[in-house]
Amino acid sequence: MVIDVNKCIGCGNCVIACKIENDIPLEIPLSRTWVEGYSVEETVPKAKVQKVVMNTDKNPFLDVEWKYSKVFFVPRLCNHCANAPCVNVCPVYARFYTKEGIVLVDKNTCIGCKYCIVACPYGATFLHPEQGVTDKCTFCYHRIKNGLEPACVLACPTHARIFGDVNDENSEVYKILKEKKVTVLKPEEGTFPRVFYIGLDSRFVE
Amino acid sequence: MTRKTKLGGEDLRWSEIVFVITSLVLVLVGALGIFQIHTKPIMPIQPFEVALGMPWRLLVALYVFFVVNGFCVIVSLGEIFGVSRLEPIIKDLLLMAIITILIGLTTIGLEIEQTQRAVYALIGHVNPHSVMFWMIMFYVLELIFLVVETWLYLYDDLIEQRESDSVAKRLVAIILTIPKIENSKEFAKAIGFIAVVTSIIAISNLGALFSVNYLPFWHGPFLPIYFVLSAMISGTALAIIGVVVADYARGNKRYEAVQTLRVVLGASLSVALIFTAWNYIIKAYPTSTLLSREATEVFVFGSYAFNFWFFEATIGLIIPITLLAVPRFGRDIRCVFVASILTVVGVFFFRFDLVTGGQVLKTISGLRVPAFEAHPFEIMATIGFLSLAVFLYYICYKLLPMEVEVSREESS
Repeated sequence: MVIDVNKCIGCGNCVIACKIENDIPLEIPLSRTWVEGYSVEETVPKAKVQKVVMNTDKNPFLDVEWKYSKVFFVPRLCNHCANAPCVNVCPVYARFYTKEGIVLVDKNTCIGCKYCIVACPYGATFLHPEQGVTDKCTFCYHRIKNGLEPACVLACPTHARIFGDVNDENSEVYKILKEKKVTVLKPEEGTFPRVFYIGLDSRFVE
Repeated sequence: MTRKTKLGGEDLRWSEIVFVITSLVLVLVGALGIFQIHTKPIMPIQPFEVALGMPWRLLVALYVFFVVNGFCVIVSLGEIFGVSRLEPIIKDLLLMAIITILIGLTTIGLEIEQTQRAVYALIGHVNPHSVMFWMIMFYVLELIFLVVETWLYLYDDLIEQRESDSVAKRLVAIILTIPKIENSKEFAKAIGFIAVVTSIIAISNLGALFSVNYLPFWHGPFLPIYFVLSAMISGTALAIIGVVVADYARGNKRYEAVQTLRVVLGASLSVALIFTAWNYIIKAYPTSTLLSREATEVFVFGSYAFNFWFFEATIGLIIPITLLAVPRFGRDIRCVFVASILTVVGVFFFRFDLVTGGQVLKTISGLRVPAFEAHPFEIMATIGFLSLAVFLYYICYKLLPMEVEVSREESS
């Protein structure tokens, strides 16, 4: 997946669409995808940063008073790492890679030890409050297997999220990665994320 | 006035009856807490919604507190390496080792969300790349070795116990001596060697479980070694408490053994003091990463500062070292006992701070976790497990041949 930070307006449609599609309670601040809003002022040595998170059906960006003038939104989700810490640490193989490289959770095997939550450097895994097992983004695997787009991609009004096969020369994602400068979150962790960002100032994103 | 009542040929004092009833009530409280945690029928108070706060919480810290104990190492000193002054306390240590691991594994078994599925995991659906799998495997193996070792070590005494006045003790002895065995002490020594190796692997594995993560306060190759060191501290301190209490109840004195433990505890605490100091200095040094410094600041100035400076450093390290090192205090069993209690309190907070404080900088679903807030159900469960450990130890002590040949008048 490619996310163009410059196009994200913080509407939160992706969060709500994801929650409805994947049966995550709307009012609980846990979500497979969430949007972080940043307001930044560049100062030396450390920049001043205000961070607001949208992960329920209420959009806090509508009411927030941004402290600093530079404002941007960063959609977040599981990075489907090629070297996923959650897959490595799971004691019962409840996490696995599909042949397409997507990281999934086997909810019938997960014992809820929460090691994957602790191990994920991106905070993308959480305990489902009703199911008692861990949960995370699957790129809407049930949809893409049937030729549909993930719910968040479909719901995005500005086309900030682009989904496709990196190895397919005809896909939009392939063309973007070939032509544009992209970055990933926390490359120093060696997880090889598969969510790429355009225009991301990764200094401020945890 | 101490009234006595007969129970299975054993004198049971009123104080013991009060102890038994209190323990059972507290165990019941703990069971209720665990039941509430798993069903959440009444009031899912917000901080307890695990993913909103910390994934690993009080019960994980309690698990670490139970299973990271170096009883096996001290047993091996007495049993295998011939430190004869420790021989009178080997039985106590073996029993403590079994009970702490048993209760520890029960704690973590009930802490996970899908307890029933852990059984499937044991029969093959496992990931050999996961440190957690190896940790559980080694602890289960250690528990098996310890049970066999203890049985072999007590075998000769169990034969004698078959003539006991107490029906319960006689029954236990008869059941446990159904398999016939000769040279049991020699076999116990061999199994003991395997048990101590397994124990060290298991404890260091638990250290590795934390250190492989992407949290700056945990991450590092020395955490497994730190765990082994703190296991020695915790095990020795708990051993002193157990031996002194048992001696007090039975009118014995195992002064020489306690003095040997005092030396082990004092030395381990001194090394831990240096280790702790350098750990914090290196993690907070200006050339360390920003996250590493921020993680350390939580303990030095932040929300965990009181726990660290008061409980871990002062109560858990400095006062016990002083009490154990100054000869005037160190020769007095009461001072060693107090030092051990303080050490155990310090160790408990060390475990708690390491587990929960290490996650403070963790971002969960984009939220920064400010500090840990224990849920009442967690506290209830913690009290329950601690009481269960003490109660089980008491019951086993009553039923097994724990008597040792020590002069009642042995003194300093």
